[in-house]
Amino acid sequence: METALQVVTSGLLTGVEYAIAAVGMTLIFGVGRVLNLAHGSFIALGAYTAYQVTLLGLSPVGGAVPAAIAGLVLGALVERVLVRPLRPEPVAAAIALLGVALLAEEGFSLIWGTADHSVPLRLPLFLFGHVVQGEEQLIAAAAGVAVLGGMAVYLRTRSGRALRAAAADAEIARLAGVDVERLQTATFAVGCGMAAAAGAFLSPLLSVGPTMGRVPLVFSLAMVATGGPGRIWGTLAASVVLGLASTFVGFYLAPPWSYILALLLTTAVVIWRADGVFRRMQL
Amino acid sequence: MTILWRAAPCLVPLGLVFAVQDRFALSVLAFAAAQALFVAGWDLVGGASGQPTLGHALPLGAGAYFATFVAGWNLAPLPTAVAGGALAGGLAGALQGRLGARLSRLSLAVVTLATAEAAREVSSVFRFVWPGGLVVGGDSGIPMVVYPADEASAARLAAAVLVVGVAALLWIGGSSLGLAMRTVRADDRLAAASGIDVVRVRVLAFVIAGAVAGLAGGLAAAMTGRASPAMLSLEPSLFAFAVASIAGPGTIVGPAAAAYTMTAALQWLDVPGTIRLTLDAALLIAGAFGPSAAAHLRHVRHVSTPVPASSAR
Repeated sequence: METALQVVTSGLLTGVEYAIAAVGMTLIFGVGRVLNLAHGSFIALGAYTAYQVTLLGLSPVGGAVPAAIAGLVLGALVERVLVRPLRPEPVAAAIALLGVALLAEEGFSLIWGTADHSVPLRLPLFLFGHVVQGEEQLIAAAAGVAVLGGMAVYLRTRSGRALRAAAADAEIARLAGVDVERLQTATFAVGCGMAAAAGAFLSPLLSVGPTMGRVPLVFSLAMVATGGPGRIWGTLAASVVLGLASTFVGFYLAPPWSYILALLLTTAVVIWRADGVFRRMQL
Repeated sequence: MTILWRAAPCLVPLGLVFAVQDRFALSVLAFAAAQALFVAGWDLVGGASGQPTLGHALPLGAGAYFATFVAGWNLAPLPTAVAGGALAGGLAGALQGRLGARLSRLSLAVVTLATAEAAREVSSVFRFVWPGGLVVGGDSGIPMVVYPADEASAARLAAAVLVVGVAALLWIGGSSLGLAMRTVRADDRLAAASGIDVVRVRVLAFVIAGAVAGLAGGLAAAMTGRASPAMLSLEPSLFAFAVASIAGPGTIVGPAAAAYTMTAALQWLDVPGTIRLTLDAALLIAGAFGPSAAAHLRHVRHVSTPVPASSAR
């Protein structure tokens, strides 16, 4: 019973951390109509930033802010250089972003080497009854809740309404005076920043290596597809459920099976659910 | 006659393997031929029929593992095991084609990527006892007797299979099925209105391309003496996509020639894997911006319901 409770707690916390990345991806998709196949690279960027921060003796969660800033800047750059010219061709944009992901992997191996690194926990552990949780994971989950709560508040502001309008119909939003292109760039940058922050939070749970972005990319894809592409609350719920499910599968079977579960889920959900959304969006 | 003329460049690899004597050069050419065959298969499904698959490694790996299993358990002679890779590849292609036949291009790309990645992960998880008591599987894959045993024979076999494979693909591309594929690629709604069974044509493209990739996989496993999860990884699929995007998607010969030349050059120069991946990435990005690839990726798939089989051509 204690074990199951431990797995449930860890799964929920992991789900919330993944939700930051998945909501970032669904925002990019909803507003920009782009499937960011480089999302995993931004998660990896965040994880490497956290790793770098731990070398200074700090906690990996301290890497979330610099990671988010780096993700924001690089995301804006990628959007302006690659995504914007290809926006009318969603498949070409997705393929180009996959190319960016490969380049990023090479960049990581040039800077940090090809070997995997583990990110150490610097803060003490908490004991709640028989459940043990690292302080880092609790802070990360709290930060995740804060980011997602901030997002909910932002969507109710004037600027947030413009964003929702652009997501619903870019042409109408443009006619209403919304600078849709600028909004798309900003959303892409913010989505990448969120992915990088999530990478920093998730770094103690992952093996940090050049190709580490592939697994979180698939998890994010599965969460976005399950929750409904472009739907923030659906993606959030799917993230928590999938985080829980993957932790259960990883614990009771073996970690690779949680990845296989995410892949099969992505396949099934894209076929039965997400494709309808892509089709309506003419993707 | 036109097909023969278009297939003529494929005779170059055949001539090369008879002209070259160096063992290293022969092994490079053999590997290049297998890779070119794999890319030519991708071009039928991705270029000619306009289905941008990111999981073409699945039939390649299926072919490789099938050949290894059949040879390892002595179920058939080695040449039959290698040729049987085509059957396994065709089945894997049929699965992908069936799953993706009614999907938008973006969904198809995601689903094919996910299926190949799932197969790679499953293949790296399982380990079992091989005849002789050896535990095989996992990341190191499954060993196989090297066939053909010497480099010259391997290179000649691979080149001959490449020529036959490309000629067959060109013949299919020029047949009524090829015409149907191109019509479906251009506008599936128009194709359906013309009486073409869009779903059937799409699945057939996957099956044929999968069979070709499976044959290439069987050949590669036999030549290297191993089938491994790396064959199912994202890299071969991205290589095929990248090369076909810049070398004239849908032309079959263009992507095959580009893959042959690139693979041979990279192998010959012993370019490290990291640089190859960077090159693939650059090609992918360049291909996405290139006019020919953009033209292939631009068309929107409309049909979500199959046209009755009775109206199939």
